[in-house]
Amino acid sequence: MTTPTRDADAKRGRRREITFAAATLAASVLFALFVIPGGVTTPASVVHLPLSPAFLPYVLTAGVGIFALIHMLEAIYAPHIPPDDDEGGGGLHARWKIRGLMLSVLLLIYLLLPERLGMLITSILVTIALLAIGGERRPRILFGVGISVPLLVYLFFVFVAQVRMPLGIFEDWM
Amino acid sequence: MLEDIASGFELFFTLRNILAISAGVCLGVVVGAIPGLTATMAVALALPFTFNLDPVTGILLLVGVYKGGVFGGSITAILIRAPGTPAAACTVLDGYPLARKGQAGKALNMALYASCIADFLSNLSLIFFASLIAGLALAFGAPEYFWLICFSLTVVIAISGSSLTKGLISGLLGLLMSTIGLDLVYGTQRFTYGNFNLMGGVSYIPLLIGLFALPEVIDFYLRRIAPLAIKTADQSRLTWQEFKGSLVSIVRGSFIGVIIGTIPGAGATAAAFLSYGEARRTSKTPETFGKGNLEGVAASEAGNNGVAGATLIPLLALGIPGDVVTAVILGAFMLQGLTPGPLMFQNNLTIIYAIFIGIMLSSIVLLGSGKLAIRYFAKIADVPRHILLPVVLMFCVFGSYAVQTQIFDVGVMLAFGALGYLMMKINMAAAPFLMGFILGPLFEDNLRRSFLIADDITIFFRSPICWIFIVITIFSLFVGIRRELRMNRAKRATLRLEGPQ
Repeated sequence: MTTPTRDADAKRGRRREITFAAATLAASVLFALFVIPGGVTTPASVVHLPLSPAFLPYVLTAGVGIFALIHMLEAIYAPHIPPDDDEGGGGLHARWKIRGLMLSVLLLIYLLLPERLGMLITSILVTIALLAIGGERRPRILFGVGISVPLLVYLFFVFVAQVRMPLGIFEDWM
Repeated sequence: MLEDIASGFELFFTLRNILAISAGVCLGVVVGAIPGLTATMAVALALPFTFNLDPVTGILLLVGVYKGGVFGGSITAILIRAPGTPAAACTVLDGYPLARKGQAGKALNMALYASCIADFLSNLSLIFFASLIAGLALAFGAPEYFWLICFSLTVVIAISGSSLTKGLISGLLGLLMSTIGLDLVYGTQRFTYGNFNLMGGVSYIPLLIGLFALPEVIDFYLRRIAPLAIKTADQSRLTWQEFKGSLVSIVRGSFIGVIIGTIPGAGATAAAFLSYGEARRTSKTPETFGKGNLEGVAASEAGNNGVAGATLIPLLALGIPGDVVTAVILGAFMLQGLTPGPLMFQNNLTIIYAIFIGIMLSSIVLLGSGKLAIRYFAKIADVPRHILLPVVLMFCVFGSYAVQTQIFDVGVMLAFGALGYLMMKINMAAAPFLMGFILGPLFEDNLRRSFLIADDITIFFRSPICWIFIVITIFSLFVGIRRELRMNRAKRATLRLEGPQ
């Protein structure tokens, strides 16, 4: 890598680390000021501080804040160490926004539809869609894998592992 | 005594018993390899089959399932970064990078050999030191547990990845996450905001699956070019030199597993991470850990399998189950009209010996069934990633749902998947988060129980066990931080030599 490129990368990396540390520090302050008092009910009868339900959350939040501060000082004053080699190589996909959106929708389908459509139908739909997004165009693979694998996994979970899966639209039939 | 051993042999060597243990191990390996289906679930599923079996056959079936399940978790951890069991999360750290380098076969075989050796040593400890180690475990009260957990948490330094501060933040966030749910002492709510599903805390299986497996799926769909394909696993074989190089870590990890396994509640995950941390601490090339070091796979597998036999020590010697699996096995003993504990060694010694022989045989069966499993499971590595990853996602969803049959857990898995992806992008290690999350309840519970027992802080220094753990905790912190700082200094010196930034 040439020196100017490395310098630019180092600057970018340093900026990223400072942003991360500042965001973590701010989050820890907000957590201590608002989230813990609002989210933890402390009974009035607490005798010792360590016995309070809020004790550990406060200690841990303080710890996060302190380490975020150390990280920020390290990022500002010490030379930036680039992270270890990125295993995957390459940056984001040219259409990463649309792919990300599609993936988010499919993940939401896994969350919202199983109780209405049933786990089997939902997993068939999502698997076929993901195969298509991944670039699979052969109908035999697309529908063969997309239908048979979810069916087999579903049968395994229901009949071998004896897990009651949501039946959705098949609820009345069974 | 010899007469009892001979009777034990006679009782054990029946086709039924050998079939039971073989079937148990095979079932355990398969179930353990499926993310979301744990060894605990496999043992619970096998329990009804033992009702009509002889006591020895029934118990051996369950023990086989348990041991197979512990190893099985490592298969998918190595191949698809989806640990089948929580303890296998540590195996992901080096197993998956090895798989990406096309050395899945090496990693799987190393995991198998380390598992079998650790299992064997754990069984030997069970047979020869049961009463001795069980007595030691009984000396552990809340303050001793507290220091043990503190010592276990020091391993966060070793698994922090490229940034120590980020690793520590990750560990603290894991601990913080573990505080969600009903307070153990007062029963008040913490961060539940009235959500009934969070009263018992965040479920750890969906968290584990989300944190490790889902980021790979997300990353695949968002990258410009597909991540490196995992090459054919069968082409890489483990050499004798590689195995020999990891032998010390395997033996050390096995004994760490035995000690941790003996202490009720400490768990295989802590043992795996502790063993991994020790292997890294003593390694001449600690910088290669986390990037595909075979010794890392060996150490973590030895740690978590060393626990398998040892958890039976408090069960058989004292009648105390060390974890959920042994609690189920205790139930099986009771269903058969047997009560584990000191009296069982007097009244049913022949059965005890027969079980011991079966347990020893299980290590050999594990080797055979593991080899077979690797042969077929390794073919997963040949499946193109655009076909494999939708199936992985499906297993993630099914596995998360199966834990409590709640869609809420699928949501938890997806949320932690997003968090895991974010952590991946900002180079923050996820393993310290998991470690903090798993040890968090034990840490807080024992801290507060100690204060409930005595209002005085001196309770934390009350026994030699406390002092031993205090000393090794400080030593481990000192050595770990010094090594990390030295490594960072060396990296910065190299960067300075290469030119100005």
